[in-house]
Amino acid sequence: MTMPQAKTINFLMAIAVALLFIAALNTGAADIDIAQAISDMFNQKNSLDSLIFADIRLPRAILAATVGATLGLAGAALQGLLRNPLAGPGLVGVSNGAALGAVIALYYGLSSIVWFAIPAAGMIGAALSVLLVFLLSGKTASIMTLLLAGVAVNALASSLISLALNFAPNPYAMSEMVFWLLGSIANRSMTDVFLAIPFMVIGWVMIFSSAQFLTALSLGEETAKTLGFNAMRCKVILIIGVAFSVGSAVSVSGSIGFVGLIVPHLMRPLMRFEPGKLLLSSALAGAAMILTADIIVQVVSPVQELKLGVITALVGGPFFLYLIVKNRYAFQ
Amino acid sequence: MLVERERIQSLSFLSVDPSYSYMYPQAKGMHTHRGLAEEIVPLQPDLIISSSFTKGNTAQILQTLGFHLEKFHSPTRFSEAEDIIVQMGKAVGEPERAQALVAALHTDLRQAKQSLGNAPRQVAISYGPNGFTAGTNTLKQSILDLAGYDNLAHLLGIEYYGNISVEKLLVADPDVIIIDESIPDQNSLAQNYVNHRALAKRYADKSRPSVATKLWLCPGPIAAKAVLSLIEQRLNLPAHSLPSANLYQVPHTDSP
Repeated sequence: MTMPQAKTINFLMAIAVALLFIAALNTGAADIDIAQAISDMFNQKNSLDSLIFADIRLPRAILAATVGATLGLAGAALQGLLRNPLAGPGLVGVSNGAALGAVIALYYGLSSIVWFAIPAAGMIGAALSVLLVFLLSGKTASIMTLLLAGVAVNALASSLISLALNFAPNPYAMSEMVFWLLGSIANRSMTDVFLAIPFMVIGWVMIFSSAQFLTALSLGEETAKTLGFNAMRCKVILIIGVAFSVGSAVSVSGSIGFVGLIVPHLMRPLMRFEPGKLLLSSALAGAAMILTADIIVQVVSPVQELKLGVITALVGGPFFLYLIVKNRYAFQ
Repeated sequence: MLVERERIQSLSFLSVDPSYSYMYPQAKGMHTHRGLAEEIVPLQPDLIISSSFTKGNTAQILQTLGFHLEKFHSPTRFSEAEDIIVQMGKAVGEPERAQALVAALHTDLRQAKQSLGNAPRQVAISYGPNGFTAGTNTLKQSILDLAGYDNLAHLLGIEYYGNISVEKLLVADPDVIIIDESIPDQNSLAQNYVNHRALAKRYADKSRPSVATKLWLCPGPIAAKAVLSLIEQRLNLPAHSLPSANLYQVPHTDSP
């Protein structure tokens, strides 16, 4: 049996994402007529259906798709960049670093000084932690070193998050720790969409522009250099791309674990182990995963909503264990 | 309100916070505590007034140590509030003052009834950060009821306190949304509920009166002021074009 073409797979994935997006728009507490809502929206009729559709459901579905795409894409990029199958934005601490930045900006009033403070702080947090992990694990890092560096950066970032929330001058800050550590896109509005998406897209463009470098890098850094890549420059672009996209995504969604870890693994065999080709399919699969998870949380527990990270960890935890067992010889 | 300042040794830290306490000007400068036994014991008070919300183990420790502790639960109706004022008056040895407070409460409520007149009943809901709202067995229900509103949270079957999503709130489409507590110059995800664009849009072109602050939380004599304030807001709207939907702001008070 021959493997289907990468293009065919991506096409099917895109259709799946579109269908899940429509399903997400139909999921919610209220029973609204989506077709009616859309027609009202275009006719400038301010009906209840169109209001719920345009200001509650649509931003939520858009964020599910884009945050998921960002996490999948960043996972594929980090695994390629660090040449390490266990890398991922959650595991190496980039997500929590971004959440820390966003927490400081939100609860300490920076967002009322400049409008883009929250995503900007998220990006700075993400950049610092990806840099830290990169420096700690170095050029020839083993899986073990990277994991330990990730554990350390993660622990540091999450304790700083709780420290920042503890001293925040806001009575609700402390109870929102769950949001930042487990992630959710409930109750988001178009404001958040407009705030986060431009930065996410900039990050995506930077990562996609490095696709060929990632493929070359899988043959070794020296090979990549002889193929004419400026390795240093390409790496910096990738890191900034990850920081931009993950930083702005996490600043609206909180830190959702395991998506960036699992998704590239599922797609890798289908993409014939080419890191460059893996990017687009991981982005699509990430979008599909968060859209699905967000539909599940709304259906399973509509009143006290589950956080997205609970669902992704329930799938991701066992998968992570499986990866460790599969790679256990690599640790020795 | 019941005793002289000199007779009060220490108050809850919330009583000096302007956004939670109606009496904060009077409470200013007094000794405050955060409900820890360690803070109370050195003061050696003759009487400790606690509520059923007070940290359980603090009350237990203080009782074990032999302090005189009076527990009051939070009232869910005005009649209960009156009983508590009377009991508290007895506990501190000022029954006449307590009676005077109850009388003042009655006067306020009578006046509320008068000014409301035959205004048609509307559906209202109190809505706070995290979609927090108060249902059937709460004093807020009584406050809304006396101000001429049916409580949407009660109609939705919420018995005590609960949370409802922005989407559910929009679908239920109450006439009036009373925004419960707004903290100026501060952001949190919880506050995104009350600041949600969809709510602002839905209630944008309607007039948005704001009710005098710090009246909600108080289970005592101040709660009647919340009723008066709500009615005043409503009657000051142009009578011929009663808006179908309003956002009110109601602030907070501490226990008496």
